[in-house]
Amino acid sequence: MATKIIMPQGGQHVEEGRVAKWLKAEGDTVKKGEPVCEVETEKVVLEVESPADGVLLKIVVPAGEKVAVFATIGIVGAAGEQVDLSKLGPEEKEEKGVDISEIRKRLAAKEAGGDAGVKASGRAKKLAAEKGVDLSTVQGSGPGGRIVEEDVLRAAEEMAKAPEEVMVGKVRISPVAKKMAEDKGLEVAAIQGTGPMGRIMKEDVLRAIEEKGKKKEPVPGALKQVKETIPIRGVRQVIFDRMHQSLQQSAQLTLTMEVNAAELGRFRKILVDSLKDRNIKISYNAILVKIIARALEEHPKMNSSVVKDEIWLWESVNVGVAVDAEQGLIVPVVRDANKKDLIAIQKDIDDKVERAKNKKLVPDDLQGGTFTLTGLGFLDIEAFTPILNPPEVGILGVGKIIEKPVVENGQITVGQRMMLSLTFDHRIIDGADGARFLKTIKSYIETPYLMV
Amino acid sequence: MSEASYDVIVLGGGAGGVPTAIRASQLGGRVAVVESDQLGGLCMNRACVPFGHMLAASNILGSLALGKEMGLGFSDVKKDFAALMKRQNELISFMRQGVKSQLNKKKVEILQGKGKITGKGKLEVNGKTYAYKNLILACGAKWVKPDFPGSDTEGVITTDELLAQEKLPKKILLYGNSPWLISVAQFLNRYGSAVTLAVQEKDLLAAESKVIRSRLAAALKNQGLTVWAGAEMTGVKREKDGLHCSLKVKDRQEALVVESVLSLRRGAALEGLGIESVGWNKGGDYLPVNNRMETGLDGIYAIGDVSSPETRHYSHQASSGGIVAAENAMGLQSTYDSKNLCRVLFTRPQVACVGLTGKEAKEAGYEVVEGAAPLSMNPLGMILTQTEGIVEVVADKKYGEVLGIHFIGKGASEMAGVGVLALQMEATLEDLARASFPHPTLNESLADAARECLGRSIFLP
Repeated sequence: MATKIIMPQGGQHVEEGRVAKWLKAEGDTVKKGEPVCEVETEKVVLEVESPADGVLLKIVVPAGEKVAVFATIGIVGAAGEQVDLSKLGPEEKEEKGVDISEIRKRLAAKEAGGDAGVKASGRAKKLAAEKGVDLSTVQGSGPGGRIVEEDVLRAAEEMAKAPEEVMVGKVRISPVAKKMAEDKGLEVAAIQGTGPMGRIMKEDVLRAIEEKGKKKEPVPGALKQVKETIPIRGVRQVIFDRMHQSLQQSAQLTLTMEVNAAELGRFRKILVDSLKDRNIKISYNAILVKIIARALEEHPKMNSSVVKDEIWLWESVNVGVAVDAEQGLIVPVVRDANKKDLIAIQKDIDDKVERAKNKKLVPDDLQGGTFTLTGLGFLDIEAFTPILNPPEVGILGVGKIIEKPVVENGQITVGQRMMLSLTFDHRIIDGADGARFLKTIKSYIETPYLMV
Repeated sequence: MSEASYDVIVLGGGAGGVPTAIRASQLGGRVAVVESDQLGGLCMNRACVPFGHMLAASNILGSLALGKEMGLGFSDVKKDFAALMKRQNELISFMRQGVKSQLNKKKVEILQGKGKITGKGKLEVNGKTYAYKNLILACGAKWVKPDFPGSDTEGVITTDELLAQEKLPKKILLYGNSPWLISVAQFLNRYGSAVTLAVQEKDLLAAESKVIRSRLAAALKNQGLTVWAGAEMTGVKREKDGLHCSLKVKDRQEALVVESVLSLRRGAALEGLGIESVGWNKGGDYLPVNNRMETGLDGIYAIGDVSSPETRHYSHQASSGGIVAAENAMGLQSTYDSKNLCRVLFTRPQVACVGLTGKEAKEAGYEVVEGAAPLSMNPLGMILTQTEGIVEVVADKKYGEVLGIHFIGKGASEMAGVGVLALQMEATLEDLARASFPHPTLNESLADAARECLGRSIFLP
């Protein structure tokens, strides 16, 4: 007897599939369960197995063609059997689909206190009683929708599975297990519970933690071998979260501008020389903090944050300075930098860097910044794309001061040049505004005496 | 030839075997219980129930002092042991009938006789062979002769003989390592016997927390009980005037003359079980099992006293483990967590401890926080003059996981149920601290002990 090969659904909501390749030719002998062709849906590639022993009589849908799911794509039958496609009956729609209207009717009747009108075999009734299956909820597959033993067994099986489905959004978990899972950042819904009613217990979480650890082990035969795994914790965890959050939550644009740093160098030298006796060494960072603070006063939007649907302009001008410390990147904040003189700013930075080395920084030292200064010049970097330190909307990256030929008034001379890289939140600051801010910075760098 | 075949045969109809058989039957199995003596086992016939009854009477006597404080007057308090025993035997007989009808109602067949395994899947009872798919050994423990010189002297008895007596001994020595000796000693003391309690452990309840131990020791002392800890019996001899006992107690020698010596030494009832016929050759004092109650022998489970060392002979362990064994035998996946076993003593004051002591928790690597709330600070405790009682909570600091709860005092055995539930459900300190226990009850102290762990006790000074 001929049997149809059906295009499988291969995923929820999939409506059509394409026959990718026939693994058997017409006339080939096939065994039940043996793959006969490969099909693709938008979600998966599947092998379709022969539904019966016999011969592949006909390929209805050739390779490369698309058809609706559940359509006939081929026929298996006895060798030499004549097949009339039209006599194989209409395409079966969702073969696993269930008509629940009958069940609804019965449940309604039952709730109303009436006879549920269940038709079931004696054996099915007995089995239902044993397994605790409510017959009024069972779809019958016997003649006239009569419930037979097999239907009860299927219902019992589904009942056993039911808790998982019912528990969507509400996972049974012990208080200790919950705390532990939260602490370890485990998705509780993914943990297999072994307590009563599938409750997730401490043991289960411990097992999940162990398995999570195991997954990092090299998979035999994989192309990559793991040398070491380093947990992301502490400072690294904070940086990890902040940086990812930063890129997710804002639209970052970076502008670069080359500036003449010759005067900045001279300015610094004068300060360093004149403060020698007082044991204070003014750094480029301190001068740049002062310059930024001054520029921020002139461009208040660069000194702001986005809070819900509002832009909050900050009164305080607190400039963070990114420092490459032993434990990773830290950003001590110089508070009210616009109100402090250079010496105060330098002392502030020195104090915080010193305390960072001794691990004596307090959270307040690192919080409340409104703008950040970062530099990689000490590592010979000229220009880069800094990433915003949320909720700030601006960060200025400064590169190495490079001696190079420049054309000034038609003459090639040796210049001291430095690249500025300004990243800002383009959601609230236009490119031209950003450029204007950079121009202000530039003017102070090239003529530091303007700050006075 | 097989007489009949069963999905589950439960060997032993005691505190463990009965619920085991009922559970297996509920799951659709054909089930039989084999009992060689009386249904109900040791627990119902000779231990928990009779002593529970006797201690209830003893506790009423103990309450008279409080009653007097409250202005109640009693004259001529009679202590009629024979009357007590009559009520007791009627009660037990009634309960035994109840067990029998329960088993009948739940379609469990009762096979009277001693069961012996004769090969894989075969059990012989009274010369007939029965086939089983699963065998659950619930045959309990037996008296073991104490190991001191003269232990077979007449007058060296167990509680079985004590219960059979019509009159209580005037002078008695209780000797051994069983914690149950303490409650028996208290009962006898209250009923007028002169009691000496000699325990081999270096301290009464050496494994429990120091607070529990010292409070119990102080209570026993107040009650006029002589307690010798770290005792070793060196000889018992019968003379005209009674049993002459000599003991080494720590560094000194003690001698006393008593009417009886009571000893409670028990070991798993493995003899004559025929377990060698299915390949058991490991020896040992009991049959160790995993958390599914499997012995490792094909289709054979063991529960209760036969599967535990003497320190864990508790009926509630037998029944909880039995239900798990029955479920596994019938194809479910079930486990029993013995770490939540409640160590209960029906002493006066009662002691009931579940989970770890602070010391054990530290050794297990937890960062331990401990809190305690004395019942003397509890309103009902004050009403009842509960100066001896206290609730201790041991927890892990990191997750607030409750690791141990210890009670001593009136009602400790009832309060411990809350503790068992808390540990079983893996409650945290916050859960206990926020449990709104009814007022006035002693259990309010449990919440306060948990709050003390969190540094915010409400009622402690």
